Amino acid sequence: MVVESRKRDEDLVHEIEPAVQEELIKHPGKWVALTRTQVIAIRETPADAYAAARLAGIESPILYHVPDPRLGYSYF
Amino acid sequence: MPRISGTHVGTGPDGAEIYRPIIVVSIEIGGLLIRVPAIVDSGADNTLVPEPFVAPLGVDFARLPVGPGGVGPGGGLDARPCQGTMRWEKEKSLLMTRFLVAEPGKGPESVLLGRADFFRLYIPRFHWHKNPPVFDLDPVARNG
Repeated sequence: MVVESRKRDEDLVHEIEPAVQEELIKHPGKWVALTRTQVIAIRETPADAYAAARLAGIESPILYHVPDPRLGYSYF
Repeated sequence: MPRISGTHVGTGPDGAEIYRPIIVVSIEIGGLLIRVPAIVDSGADNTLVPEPFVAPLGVDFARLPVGPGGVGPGGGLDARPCQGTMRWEKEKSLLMTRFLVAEPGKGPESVLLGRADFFRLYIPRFHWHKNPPVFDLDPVARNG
């Protein structure tokens, strides 16, 4: 069990690359269009972020609303 | 299955770093597709999708059939069923073809993957004692 857990730690994957995560948290409350490896557009509304990504040639961006942890721990 | 790192979402009011168990899912409706973050949420009865994620795909919340409603940390909200294909892209797995959409202006900021659907496909194990936190998602099919 411990060996399996260590092996899994070695095989760790990131759904969103750490460098992108750190860039995202600089913009609490904003809507961001991104890929797993790159921030494409930071906007006030989801529609604007989505449209900006499409204009940039990204067909299916990840649309992300950056949480504002200062408001508390809830995701609502 | 690979171990997945928690996603760093910021620093809380007490100075503690906050990580969430997030995967990226795709939602496809009517030939349009969007990728969005989704939290593996053992506290959610059903999977719930924020309305801004499906609006670009042509979904008009007002035209969705009346749903069961729901209650979350932010209070009550209208949640309506929507047909669409949700996949976990990294694993190329189909998660569901129907989910609830939260009313505009309310609900979560990410998809919440709930027990009635996602948890019937994957067995989550959270390792929030690690720094940074990580989690496992093992397919039910391989684990019985």
